Amino acid sequence: MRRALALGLALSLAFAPLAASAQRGGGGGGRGGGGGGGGGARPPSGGGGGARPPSGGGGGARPGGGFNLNSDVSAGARPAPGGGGYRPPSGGGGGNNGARPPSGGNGGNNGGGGYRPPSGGNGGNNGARPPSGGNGGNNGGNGGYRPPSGGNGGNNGNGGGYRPPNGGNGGNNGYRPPNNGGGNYYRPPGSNNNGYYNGYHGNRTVIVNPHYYGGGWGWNRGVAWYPAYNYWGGGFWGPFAIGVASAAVGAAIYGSIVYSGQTYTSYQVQPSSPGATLLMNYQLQQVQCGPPGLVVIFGPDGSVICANPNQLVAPGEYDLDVQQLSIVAR
Amino acid sequence: MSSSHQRFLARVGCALACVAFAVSLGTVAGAKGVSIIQKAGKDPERYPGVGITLIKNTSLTVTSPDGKDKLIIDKAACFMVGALQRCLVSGVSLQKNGQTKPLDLESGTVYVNLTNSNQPMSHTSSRLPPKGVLIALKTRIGTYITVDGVIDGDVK
Repeated sequence: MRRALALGLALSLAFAPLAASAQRGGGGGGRGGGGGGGGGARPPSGGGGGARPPSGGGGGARPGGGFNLNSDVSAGARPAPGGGGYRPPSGGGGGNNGARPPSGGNGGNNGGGGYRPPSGGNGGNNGARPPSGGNGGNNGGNGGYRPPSGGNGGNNGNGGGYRPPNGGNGGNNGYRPPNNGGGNYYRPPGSNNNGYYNGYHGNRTVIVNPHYYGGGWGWNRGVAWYPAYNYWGGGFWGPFAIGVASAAVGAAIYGSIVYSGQTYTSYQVQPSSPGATLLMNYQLQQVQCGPPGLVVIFGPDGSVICANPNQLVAPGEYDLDVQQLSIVAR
Repeated sequence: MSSSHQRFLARVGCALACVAFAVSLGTVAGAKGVSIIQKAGKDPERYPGVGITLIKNTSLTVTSPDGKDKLIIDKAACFMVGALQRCLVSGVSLQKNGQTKPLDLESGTVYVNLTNSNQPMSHTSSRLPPKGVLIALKTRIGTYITVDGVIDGDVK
């Protein structure tokens, strides 16, 4: 009897640390010892999995107090006035509540919670704006996002917008691709102003996603997807961080195209990315960009991918409607 | 001692073990997370007992063990991978001494399990527990920040 009870207790004692270390995952001082680490997350451009800090056993110093990250703060970062966002180095003037990365222009007013990446122009409010953004708006829209080289900010804008590179003048309500236009649709670089707006496509043909139609963001279970400016294509095609000369780190180059005098490098789409879902829905197979007669899809943030045409999609150039996960003929 | 008696006692012992295991899991569910910060060329620093809070489903904060500092992840491109939400992070700030400053982020990924069951993760045999969070960030100067734990606060 004692033996059985002892066995039970021994098992329980053995389980407790196991469970604890399972919870700790990647950290695991117990597993550390200089090597290991184990289990944990692996930073992006890895497929999935989790992060494993180099030689990361864990176990090292135990500061116990605050985070030792002072040297990792953006140089010149300023505390965000009025709460909310942040403003990175080289930002321009004022701007309230909006995050502004390096080289940003002038700040906007009355904004809330926005984000603007490097080289942004004048401060927009409430809207995320990636590098080289244009002029910010006043009394800004809520929750918008504007990618690199964005144009002028929107005024009095409302909700949820996204504007990709070279975006134009401020629109409201939604995602705006490069070079202007308002509306919920993504427009690749090089296109002009006053494009589709809130679902208006002009005379352009929309090829509705065979799997998702109707509700916005249905393809992402109702969760809005916004590009992450520090990834190629905003991360739509995979977690490829942008490295030197705007090249995607860890991504295989998949040819290039020249459009409106500008060269766009394409990269291999990673499985389990939104872009992979798009291709799968349209039964498209990605191929190297370059040859004629391909399906060319302009994605977020100046990204381009190419695929062989099929019974659903004819050869040609398409813009991406990221909200509906559909494509629109140019 | 009869063999049936021995079998009974063995079952009692195993039952105790199972109870203890369940208790330990319960402890885990209520536990906070662990963060590891490793600067380039330095030993990792481990911060057990960090708090992880989801705020209005729009940002995720990681609070230092002493409750003074916060890492705030509020900009990310999120996409469902199976039952897990996978977010590519583009904006993280550090709240310290009353100031909020952006981290110079190179890349980062967050996995969140908002379901009530363990969920498998791709490319690993690891599973993320209910409300489990896995964060991996890398800054421009090569510092790795990882956080592993469960959401212990959810501000609606």
